[in-house]
Amino acid sequence: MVKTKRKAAPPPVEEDSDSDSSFSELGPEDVEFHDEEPDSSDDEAPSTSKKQPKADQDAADADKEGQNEDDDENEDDDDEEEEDDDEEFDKTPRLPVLNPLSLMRNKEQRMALFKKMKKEKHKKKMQERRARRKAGLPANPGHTIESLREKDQTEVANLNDSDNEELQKELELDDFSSYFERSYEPKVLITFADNPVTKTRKFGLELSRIFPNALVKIRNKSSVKKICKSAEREEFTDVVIVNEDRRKPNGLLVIHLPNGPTAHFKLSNVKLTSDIKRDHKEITKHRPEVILTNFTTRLGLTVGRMLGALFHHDPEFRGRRAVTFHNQRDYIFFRHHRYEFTKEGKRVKLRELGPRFTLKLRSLQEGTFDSKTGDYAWIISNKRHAMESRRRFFL
Amino acid sequence: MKWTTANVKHPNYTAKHELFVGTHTGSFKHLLPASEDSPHGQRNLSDLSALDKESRVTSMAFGDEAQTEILLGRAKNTAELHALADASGSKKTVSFKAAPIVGLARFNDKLIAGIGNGEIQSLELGSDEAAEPVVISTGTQMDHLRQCLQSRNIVATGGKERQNNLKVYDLSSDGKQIFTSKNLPNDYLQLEVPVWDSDVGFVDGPSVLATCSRTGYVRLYDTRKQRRPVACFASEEHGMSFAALVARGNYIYTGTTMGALKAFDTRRMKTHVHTYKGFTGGISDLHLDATGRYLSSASLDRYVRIHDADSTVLLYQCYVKSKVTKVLIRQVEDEKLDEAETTAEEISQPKKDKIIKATPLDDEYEDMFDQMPTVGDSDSDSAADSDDDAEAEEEAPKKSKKTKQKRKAPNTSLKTKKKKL
Repeated sequence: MVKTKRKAAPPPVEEDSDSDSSFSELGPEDVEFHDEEPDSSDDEAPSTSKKQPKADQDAADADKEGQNEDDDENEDDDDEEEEDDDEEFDKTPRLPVLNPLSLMRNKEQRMALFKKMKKEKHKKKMQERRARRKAGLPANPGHTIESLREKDQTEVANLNDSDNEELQKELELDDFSSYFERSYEPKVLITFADNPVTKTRKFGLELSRIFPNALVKIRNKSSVKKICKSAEREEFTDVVIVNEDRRKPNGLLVIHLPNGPTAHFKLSNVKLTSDIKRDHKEITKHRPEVILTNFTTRLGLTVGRMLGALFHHDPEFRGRRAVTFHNQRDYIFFRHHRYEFTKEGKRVKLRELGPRFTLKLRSLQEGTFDSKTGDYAWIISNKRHAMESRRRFFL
Repeated sequence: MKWTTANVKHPNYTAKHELFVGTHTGSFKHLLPASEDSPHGQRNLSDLSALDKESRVTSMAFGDEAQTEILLGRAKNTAELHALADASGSKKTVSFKAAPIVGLARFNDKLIAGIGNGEIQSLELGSDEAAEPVVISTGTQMDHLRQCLQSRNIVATGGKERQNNLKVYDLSSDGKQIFTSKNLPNDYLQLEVPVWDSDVGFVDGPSVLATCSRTGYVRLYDTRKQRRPVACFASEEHGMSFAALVARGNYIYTGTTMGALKAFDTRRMKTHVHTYKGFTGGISDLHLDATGRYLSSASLDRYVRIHDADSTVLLYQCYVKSKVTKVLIRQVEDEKLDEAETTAEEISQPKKDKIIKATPLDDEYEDMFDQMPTVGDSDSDSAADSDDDAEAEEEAPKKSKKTKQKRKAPNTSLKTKKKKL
């Protein structure tokens, strides 16, 4: 069961929306954001929206709700969003509640009582919903892994807070400060593991269509340290290396030059433009807009800045291209779209262009690539079992 | 304790400590884990707005034995002297000829700085700014300079490459080099073993030193004995890359760039003896408190932590907002006297117990004890004594049993013989 949700419109851009042939062909299309989370085999994949991640319910709740589902399906489309009975969730662990009715022996009476109980429950829920709607409150977000997330000490709630003085200072001084001061234009070198297969090469080529001012080179068996050195000489500002295993791209190494940092990502679910039945000719040469969402912690902020620094600071809005790095539960989903506003300017039509892929941070290193002796600012290998939890996220 | 990102203070952590933290951005902070209400509150001791890209804190040390002054070196060529005695926190800035400053020491009225390019520069503190520093060249590169806490005229340096290996200098005799280490013999392929002494430390006195390396070894040197290491740990298969080191007594504590903190026993360096948990980033600095029981660590994951050195329990953890490069720990000053008294009491109490146990009640008693044969060492402390007694008791019945059996055995044999007869 895959839930779909309408994607909220991005902030409107001051621009006349010249109509596009591809849009007229397809008509207004609602974007479906199927989230592939490689590790979870949940039948409910989380759906995303830009402003507020609305996600699936807990497995436990799903079971609870399972009883009600038959009734709900007969209702009008207000019931599209399932809601939980328990509004407030507190920190105490929830124990399974035994319904006293289920101990009743008389089947007829029991069923009648069950029906009555269910009806009342549903009535109550509807009342609550109506009250909420009247008060203009947002819909109940429900019981999700996100809402139960462990609080992270390093969370950056508001950059302009008075107690974030030091953070602001650090952002002024760190390795990306010169990018955000717009003192240079990013120039990206994309390369591969040795002897890449066609799929990996194609992926590299598609990356070069996304990053403006990017160059794809075959690695020619040179070491990463040497590549960094020569890239620095040729005035590249970032190096992206695509690793592959079993004929599939599986790792992405992003190195910021000249002083680092170096981020290593696991790369999964790579869908090339041709895999999602699109043509690369649709992708224009305009510089895209970059949307980074949901990077909340201090580490997430660094990773977001790092990914943002691969793109030119000034997007060309005429191209109406948008690339999205959406972080959800530490998986960074990449999508590439072209958008068009409708005549009224209230809704937006989107067309995915591809490629799409998912990243997961493995390590963040100080300085340029030096996996043996370099200092790691964050690394998860060797202690995954100590650090990981279903409700703890690092980005 | 379970891994967490939250600021933690263990309920059993009652020692009165304060922490001084130097960070990657250049801020210099004071934390007071001992305070009841806000153990995670932090105070900036330097002006944040004056920081620039080169003001990263690269070295920090106490200027004197009383720990009333902190020397702070930065990635640029300035060192700062912070006096902690007065509340205002007076500061004096000294500039050297080169950068970065990787180690600072104070000997009499001289400020000695180890520079990243392999020089030791020393400046008279009393003289005016224009004075030229006295330069001693140690090699081409330096990773760390450390001063011996017991005899403050001795400093040790270490760096990358063979020519920058561990060296010890005596500052009282114009910076004479008194020791230079020698690498291990070549390996079985007749190749040179790589040298990178990324951190050095004195082990209780000027003659025993420990070094650790980003290439993955921990070595113990004895300057009285030989130039080659007397004990060595090499992690070839694990590939650990050690970045920071502190040593005391029989233990060497080292932290790796991948966020593992290990303790080694100098008597047996084959493997580590303790692992301290809780890190997600590389360890940049370590410091032990005066008692040697509390190990404070600075990590690039923006946390400072205090572990119990013996039980490895994480006692304290605090998020300090920027990447921590240096940390110092000391007893809180106001409580210092009280603390000293309490510790003195703690030390003296067991002694008293011993005395009470040892003092005889009667002369007869004493005679009796004198006549008794000694079983174990009577010099060791009371616990060991009691153990010995227990052992003796255990042994005694065994012996008696054996003797009984021995006595019995001939009898029975005789009986059987008689029967046979």
